Amino acid sequence: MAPPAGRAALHERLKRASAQLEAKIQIATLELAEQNELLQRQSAEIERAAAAKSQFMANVSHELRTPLNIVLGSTRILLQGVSGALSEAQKRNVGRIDSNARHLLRTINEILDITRIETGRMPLRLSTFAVSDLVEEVLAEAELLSARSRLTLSSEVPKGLPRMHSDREKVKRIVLHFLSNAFKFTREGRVIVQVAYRASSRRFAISVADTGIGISATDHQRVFEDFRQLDESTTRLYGGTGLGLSISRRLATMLDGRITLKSALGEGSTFTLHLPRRLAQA
Amino acid sequence: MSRKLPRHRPLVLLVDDFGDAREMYAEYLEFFGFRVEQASTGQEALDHVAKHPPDVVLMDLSLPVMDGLEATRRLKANARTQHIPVIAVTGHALSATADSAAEAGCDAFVTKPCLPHRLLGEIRRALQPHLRGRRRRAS
Repeated sequence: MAPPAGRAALHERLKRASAQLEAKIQIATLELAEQNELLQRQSAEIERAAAAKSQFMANVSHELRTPLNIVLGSTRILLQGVSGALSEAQKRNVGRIDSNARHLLRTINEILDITRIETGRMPLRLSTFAVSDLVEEVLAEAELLSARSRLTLSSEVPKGLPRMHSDREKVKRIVLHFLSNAFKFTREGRVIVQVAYRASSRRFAISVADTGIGISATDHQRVFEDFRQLDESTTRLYGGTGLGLSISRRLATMLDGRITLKSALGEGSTFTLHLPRRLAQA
Repeated sequence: MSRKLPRHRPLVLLVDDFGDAREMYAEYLEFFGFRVEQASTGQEALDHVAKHPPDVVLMDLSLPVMDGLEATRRLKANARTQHIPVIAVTGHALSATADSAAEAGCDAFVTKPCLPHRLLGEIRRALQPHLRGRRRRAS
């Protein structure tokens, strides 16, 4: 049975519309493919740029370290008296060259560390270890800092903690950095290292609390930024490169952890490193 | 730092294309009783070794003409020179140079900045098994 005239026209229109739709889809698909290709090209370009940046940083670091090697070596030779005895005034001047050259080297090394982390060239070395041993080691290394200050240094580590599986060196580096900050910004009172383990979340919290100058709430984010010491003038007063916390934050992320800060102006600071008990190998 | 003068005045070959680095280490090592020869390319280093075999070679890895890795490979491939300890020195921190240095046959590896007293320590360490080995061969 032939369709009535009205239905035939409708059918025709439907067919045309469907053909138009198909053409539009085809164009859209083509555009999508084009955009896809563009994105792929752009992502390859970004990867190339990142690789170029890290190569550039490696070269810069090499170019800076080569002359710095001579500055550090020659001042050491002078201070050791290999080139003859120095007067007290000469020693003071050479000593200033030495300490500033070492500061410069620390800064270069830390920039290099950030580059390593961001380009995925900082390897993870996982092992299983007792957190209490690590804290003991950290305290022993901080003994020098505390001997120079009038602060009391202590620790609170509960008994019977499970062992941690993570990158020991990196955990230690972060906690040591917390400690050196605590001593830097505390004139009197105490510095205490505390460890807590929460079985429900299987996470450790290692914190360093001080009774120092503290950080106002508005600045809590800023202390983790690169080259950031809250008052630019404190860089001179307190030393350090201003990169320590930003490196610690990056290291914590590598360890599937994070760093929190509890502090208020004049009321001391507590930096806490939260870490999973077991870091899964990526 | 004790100025312990070695009895035999061992000969150190310093290979570095950076004159200031060579002079600095040479001054320090001579103060501590070593004899020092200097070379600024890998080829020069090989020529030196052929003429006056040193007790230890301090090899910067990035050198013009022939780099430190190639020079080390040739020293280690030669039966007459393969016993001489080679300490690799490099300023490159990002690349996997430690591995390539070991593959080329370097006995020790230090990164710059390397303070003179650290280098002295490395040289003394490298010389100890070497001297022991020579005494064994002599007896």
